[in-house]
Amino acid sequence: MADGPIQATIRAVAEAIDRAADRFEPSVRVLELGHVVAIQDDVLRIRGLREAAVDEIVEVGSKRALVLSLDRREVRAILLDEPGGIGEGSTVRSRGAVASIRVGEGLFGRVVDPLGRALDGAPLAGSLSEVPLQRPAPGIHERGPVHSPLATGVLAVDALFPIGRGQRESSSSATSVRARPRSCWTSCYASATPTWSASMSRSVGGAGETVAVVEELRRGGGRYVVVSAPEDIGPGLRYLAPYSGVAVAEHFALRGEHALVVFDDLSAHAVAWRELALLLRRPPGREAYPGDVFYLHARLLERAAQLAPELGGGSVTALPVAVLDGGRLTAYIPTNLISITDGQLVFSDTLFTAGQKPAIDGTLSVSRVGARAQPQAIRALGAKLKLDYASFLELEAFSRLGTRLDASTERTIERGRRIRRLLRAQRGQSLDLVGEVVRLLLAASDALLRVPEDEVGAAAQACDEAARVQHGALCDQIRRDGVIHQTAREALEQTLERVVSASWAA
Amino acid sequence: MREVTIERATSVAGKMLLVLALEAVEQALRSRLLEEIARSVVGHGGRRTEGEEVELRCARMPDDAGMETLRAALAAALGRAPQLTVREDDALVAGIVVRIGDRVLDASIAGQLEVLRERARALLNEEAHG
Repeated sequence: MADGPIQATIRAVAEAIDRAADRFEPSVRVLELGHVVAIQDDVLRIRGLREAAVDEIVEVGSKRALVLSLDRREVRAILLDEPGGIGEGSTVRSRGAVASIRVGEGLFGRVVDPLGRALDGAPLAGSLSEVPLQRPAPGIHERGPVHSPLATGVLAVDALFPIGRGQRESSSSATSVRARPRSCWTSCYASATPTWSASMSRSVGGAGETVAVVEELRRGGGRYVVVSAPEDIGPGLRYLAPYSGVAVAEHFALRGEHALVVFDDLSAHAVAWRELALLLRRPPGREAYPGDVFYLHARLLERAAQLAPELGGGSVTALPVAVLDGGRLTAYIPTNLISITDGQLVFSDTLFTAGQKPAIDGTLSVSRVGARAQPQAIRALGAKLKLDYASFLELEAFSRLGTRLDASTERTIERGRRIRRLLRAQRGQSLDLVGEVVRLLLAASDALLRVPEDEVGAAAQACDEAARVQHGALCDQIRRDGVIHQTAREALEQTLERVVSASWAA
Repeated sequence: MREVTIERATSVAGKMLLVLALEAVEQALRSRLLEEIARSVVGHGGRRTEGEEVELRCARMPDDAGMETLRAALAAALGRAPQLTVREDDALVAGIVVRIGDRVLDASIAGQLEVLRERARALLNEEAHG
């Protein structure tokens, strides 16, 4: 009879104990102890612990603290639990263990704190392995080129600012719409029934916001993990949250899976690090951030990678979110992130209030790597869309001045307005490759200009349905190979023309 | 589940050990403790000798000869007669734990079982990571 999960666990544990006992020799266990000499603002000053290391977790009774600073006389650590019961003279114990999180399939669908403690009221189940939060990024020989797309199902992203698996793409927004990038990525995940696992680290917002995030993610199946460190907890856990998120994503990438990690948001994370640095009396630099705030995020985002085939070919795609103070893209943390990442999406307040979702500002956004990973069908058709849309954005500003425009310019603007409508994502809708190809063909066709601006969405939907009904085999081939041949293109263009002519004659 | 199984299985192993070979195990642990006392203090260049108190916890109080051997080892290592506090602690199952200032030398069965647990956990983790 096959083992059930309980029997399998017992068998695995028994074998592990057996093997541990084989190599076991009685020896004297040497432990280092220290004692708290002062506690202020959750920072412990500890004497003793001569062999403590930075990022090590030390224990004060049942409470845990993270070692952040070492000097000749004492160790400084930030408490990761409530300080109750800790005072001068409390004994501190070092276990020689760095901060870690337990991760595995059992973590899917769960909300945990950065040390992996469940926050959603039920114990963690299933087989979980302990992984360190801090580990070196993969080296050059362990990486492969970014070659496959992270299909988000959002036309504006997949066609204009494509993201490849293993890429790092930051998304920035003004404070007033700061939830927008996160919301964009969660709804992508929720709608796409994705082939990737998502890990989201949250160092911002309250518990209520996290509940909303989880509700959204749940719609996309269960392969997500939320690492939550809301604003009302201490800076220690908020500092660790993104490292936990990426450690979870790495775990699955090392098994050959494709993982996505959203850091929501790294501006709040930088603020947590600034709090810690000031508490540790480190010299403040620009905007009072410590000098190593760039390194803090660079070492985090370097861990995103497309792994080499010898390592299983998995990937970690990182989407850090940043908040633009006063809407300034040139603020300290957003510019740091822009220089670290392989592109940025800037979410615009104005576009959002005009109903454009995702509210990606085409003039300020770029993806530097993803185009290499685009399927040929999207790359072939998306190039024209990019040019048309960029010309439109430039000309639209002039048209607002009431300048008289020639026929060709007016045509470019009319097309651009319709393209913008076409790029608008419907809530809960995720486009597959065929859906995106149909919309790109429509965007390039003259038929689009015959459709009133308000009805572009309906026209696109009608064309999509007609293409699938009339060219089922072609659609299957496009979906399978990611390639559109000239004959397929012509057949689909004729269908679009027929559909538009039938319903939007003039 | 895994944690509980490791905990229970190793506890049972500890009890069996206690029943079958208490004397031999205690003797082995005590001789290793004496070696470690010398190594531990010398290894730190004698920095720990000033005013550090020594605490001794044991599952069963050693007999007079055993206590004298320990006291002599500590005196040799510290370079002075130790200020010794001794207390009994059933939780150790068998063996002795010595604390010299900030350093704890754990030669107890409870400590050995903890090492065994940590190794078993590490092996399970290694397996899970392939």
